[in-house]
Amino acid sequence: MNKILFKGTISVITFVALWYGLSMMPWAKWLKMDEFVQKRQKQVSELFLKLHRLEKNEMNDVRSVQIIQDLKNRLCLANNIDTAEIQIHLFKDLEVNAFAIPGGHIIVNSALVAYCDSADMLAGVVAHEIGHIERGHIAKRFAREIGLSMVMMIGGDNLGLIKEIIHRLTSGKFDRGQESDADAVAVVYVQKAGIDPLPLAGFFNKMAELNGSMSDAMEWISTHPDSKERATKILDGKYTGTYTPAIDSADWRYLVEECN
Amino acid sequence: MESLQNVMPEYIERYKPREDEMEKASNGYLMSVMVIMAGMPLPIINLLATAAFYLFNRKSTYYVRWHCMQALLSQLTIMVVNSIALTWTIRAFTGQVPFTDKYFAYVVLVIALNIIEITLNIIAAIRVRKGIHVSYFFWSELADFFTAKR
Repeated sequence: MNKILFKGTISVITFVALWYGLSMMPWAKWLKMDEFVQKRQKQVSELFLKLHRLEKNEMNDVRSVQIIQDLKNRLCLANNIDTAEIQIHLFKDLEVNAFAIPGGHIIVNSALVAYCDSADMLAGVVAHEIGHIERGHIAKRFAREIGLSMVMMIGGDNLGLIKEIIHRLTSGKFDRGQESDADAVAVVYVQKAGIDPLPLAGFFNKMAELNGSMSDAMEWISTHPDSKERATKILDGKYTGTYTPAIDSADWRYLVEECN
Repeated sequence: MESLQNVMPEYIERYKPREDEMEKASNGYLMSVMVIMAGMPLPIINLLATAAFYLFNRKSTYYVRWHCMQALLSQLTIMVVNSIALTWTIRAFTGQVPFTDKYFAYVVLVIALNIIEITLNIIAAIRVRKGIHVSYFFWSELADFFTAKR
């Protein structure tokens, strides 16, 4: 019996040691997983947009698009982010939601614009989503979904799989650390762009109040927990500087009207 | 000789098997090889086939039972590592866990183990068919333990 235990232990130790040794090798790099992931990110985001446009109406009126593009450009330019790297899309949707998808695309629903009390509040939310992209949270999440993407590649880009991937990519929660990180980055982004960061705290407070009576349409709330705490964190910050409205008041009124 | 082997498994090394025993014992390893090739990537099929072959021969002589047991135990071990690899792969492909260096290392190791196991079983089948005793590291002791009458 002792001999069995001894040899069994030796076998297990050898197996684990070999596994540990092999795992020191950069398999993912050798298999060019990063390159593969980037390529698939682009393909998945293009497919998603194509699919999303079939289901929802993208707001295409020149003025609305220009207003939201200007906001994005202001945030990007002030923070040395390539404006071509981030693409923002406005969709007519009753769901209060904004989310980033792989490939640097941000989807903003009309209901979210209408839900915001001010343009600065919307700027905070957009900055938060840019933060998720710039801090690599979307890429990390996509890396987790790459398996499904591989299945999609093997089995063909069928609608069911695309929907499944997109659902996972857009409805999953970021972890607490990632949310805090995106909040912190958003505060920096808006400040650098000369926009007041406090309305973002106001947005979180507004969400916290609504948490109790949350409807299914409040997707942004359900995927972004601890709103009160996040608002407090922003309010605790010391901010100096002069701020100008994120969007010109006439443009903001127009955008809200279009989104209602 | 037969009764002695039932209580002292080490006697198997000196035992001169009959022709039919050599054939059955050799088939135990061959069965394992064949189902590995046919059953991949479902590890449970390999195990079930080898277990069925062992049960079919459980009334056979000690020599046959011992070799079938050794083949079964090696198969059981491989089934465990293969099952982990399969579960991990399914989880990775469905996005529940990421593809990491640890995952790829495990898959490479499991593939290597399967190749080694198949090779060992083919060698064992040939040698046992010739009446040459074959005992694997660790699995032979386990086979002694499970086949010895207490």
